[in-house]
Amino acid sequence: MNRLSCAVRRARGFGAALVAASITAGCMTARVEESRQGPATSIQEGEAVVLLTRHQSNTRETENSFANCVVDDLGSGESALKTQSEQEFMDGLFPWFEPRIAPTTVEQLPKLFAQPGVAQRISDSGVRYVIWLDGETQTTDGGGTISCDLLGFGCVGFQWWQKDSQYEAAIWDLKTQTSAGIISADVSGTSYMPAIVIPIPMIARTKAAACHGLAKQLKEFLVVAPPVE
Amino acid sequence: MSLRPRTLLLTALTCLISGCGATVPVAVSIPDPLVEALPLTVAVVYDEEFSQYTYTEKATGTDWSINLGTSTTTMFDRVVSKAFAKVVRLDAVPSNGETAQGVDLVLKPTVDEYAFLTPADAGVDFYSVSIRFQVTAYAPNGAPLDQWNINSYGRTRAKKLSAKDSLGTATDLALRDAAATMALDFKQRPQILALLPGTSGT
Repeated sequence: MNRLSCAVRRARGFGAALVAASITAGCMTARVEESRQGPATSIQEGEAVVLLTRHQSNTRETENSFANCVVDDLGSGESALKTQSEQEFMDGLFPWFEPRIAPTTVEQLPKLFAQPGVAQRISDSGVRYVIWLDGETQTTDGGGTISCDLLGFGCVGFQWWQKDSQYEAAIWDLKTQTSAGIISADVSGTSYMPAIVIPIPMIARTKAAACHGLAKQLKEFLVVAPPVE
Repeated sequence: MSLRPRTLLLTALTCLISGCGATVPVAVSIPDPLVEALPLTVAVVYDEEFSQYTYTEKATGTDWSINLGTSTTTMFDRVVSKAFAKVVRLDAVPSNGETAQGVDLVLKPTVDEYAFLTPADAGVDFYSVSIRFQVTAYAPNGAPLDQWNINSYGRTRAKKLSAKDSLGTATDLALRDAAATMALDFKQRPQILALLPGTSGT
């Protein structure tokens, strides 16, 4: 059962910065990567971020639970960011951020800002950064069986399954109308459930790990450290 | 004829799981579109077929009933009220030499098609809804000016044991998608733009 205690640290260079993380709950490997594309980001007092999910794929869509988790993490704890809800932002700017109308590249922002009322509404909202979230968690493999109620002795057997949580956050600076960078989180993990009388689940919570890793990196990306005295 | 308890239990379980005789709740909320109103007075006509549109489908285990009329009327009202300077209601498109006084344009929407896919149909973990609207524009005297389709689409992840709610949410999203498209469409119809003051159409 070596795999149960595995903890892998991997780090690969990608762009300007790189962060690697590992989690040992169950058996997971996690990688969070950051690519800074624009000038230094520096969210100011009173400025907010909004996290929007892409809805343009036919077969995949970021789970609401994942988006809510990232928003919760961004808005709480150390270096908490001011966040605006996706619904409030989309309602205020309806129809410009609806799935089939929203800008898909940062180059489309000037055209969007030229629409009557849009620039003013965004300014009023206080939102400086839009974080476009894409990706999902998928079960990629699994096997084993568990049989229960065998002559009254409970359950016997073994099951396992592997999940892969891949998410990407593209950060747009609405003030400069440029792309600030991209942060990606890739967490894969295997869960096990041996059953001797009762099933004992050892769950690899890949989605939660990806959420916390992505949110932590987003905070570091957006919050500038205070100047050294 | 009496039903056996086992049959009744099976029926109850089937209904619990699949929601036989399911009336899908549609409660769309359309925000005010952030668009510049065209300086035109528009009359809108909602016939009974549109304002009371109900989609029904008999499927294995479930008889679906989706009442769209109230929501589509509310949605269209919300969009045209922001897309045009002034909006009035008409009972019918003018005909037989009648002319709607004080209006530049008459609009009549219809629901051309409603369709949905369940996770069982599509093999993915989503409920999908598509609605095709048809909008017809008439001159104040009832002469046809323009006609175009608006295809809208909504999708939501399947919620456990609540097919009705999932389908309702997908329908709400499809109506919101339609509203978004409509809000921008009016400014792209040459026949409508030709009615603006200062254009060759006036």
